[in-house]
Amino acid sequence: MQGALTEGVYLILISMLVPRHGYAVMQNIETLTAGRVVLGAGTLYGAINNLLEKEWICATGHNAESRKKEYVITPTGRAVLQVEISRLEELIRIGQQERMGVGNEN
Amino acid sequence: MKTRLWKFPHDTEKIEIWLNEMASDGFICVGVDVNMCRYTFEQGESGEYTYRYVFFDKCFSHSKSIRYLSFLRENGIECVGHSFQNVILRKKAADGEFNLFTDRESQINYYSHLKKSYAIWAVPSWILIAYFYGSIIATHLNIAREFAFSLSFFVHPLTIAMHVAFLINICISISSFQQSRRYALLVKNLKRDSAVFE
Repeated sequence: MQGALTEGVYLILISMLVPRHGYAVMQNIETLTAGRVVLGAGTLYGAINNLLEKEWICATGHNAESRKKEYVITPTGRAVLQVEISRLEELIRIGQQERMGVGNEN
Repeated sequence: MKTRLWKFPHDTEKIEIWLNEMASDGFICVGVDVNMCRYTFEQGESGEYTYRYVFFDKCFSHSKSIRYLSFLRENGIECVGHSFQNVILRKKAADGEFNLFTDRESQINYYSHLKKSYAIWAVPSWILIAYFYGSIIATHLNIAREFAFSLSFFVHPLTIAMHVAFLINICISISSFQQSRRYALLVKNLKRDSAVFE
């Protein structure tokens, strides 16, 4: 069983479903979470290196316009992401189910 | 017009605050040299940049640091000056907040690295202090024969130099020890939080 992903890694993997460079990933995460999660460049760099090592993402070359290095999720990364989404769905389901149960008892 | 100011980098956080205060007053730091002691400022738009004094894992010229720096550059972060692992970075304030590490894990890694670096500075300083202490006694005994504990021993340039070096060493050592303790506490708190929060 794989462990829970950190919020940062989860959002980075989602952002890399399409090829993106570091800055675009940061901007996308900020937009997706309406500014709640702002990833620092140092944190992102460490996460990208870890994900490259695990082969959950791979480098696709440089962006034609900006000349920045881009990355995209690999099939392994997609599988990890799918497991994480299922895990989160389960947690939400359990939470709502139990809350409803306790609510009905009162 | 360029202005040059000197600062001893014993407290890097204070230097960071000082650089940001200067920037908000319209003095933009454009270069740092002489082992992070001499800061060059130019007049510019007030509050244009945010500065950060950071420590890299490896020396600035190491291939890992070069790769890291080129990644930072892609993200709108410039290097103003460096010496060994000490680096001063800046980012346009208009591009948003400037924090390199935003999650607990990377903060724990970074502060643990700082804790170790300061601890390393604190230990050899004590060895140097012991060496200087020994030297002072040895010099004292040697010179004492010649000067017979006269005033000339206390005003001897060698004795004065030893005492100055001794005091500088004590200051560096105590300051490094305090910094190391401070980062150790930060790491401890972050680790405690990470047991509860993701």
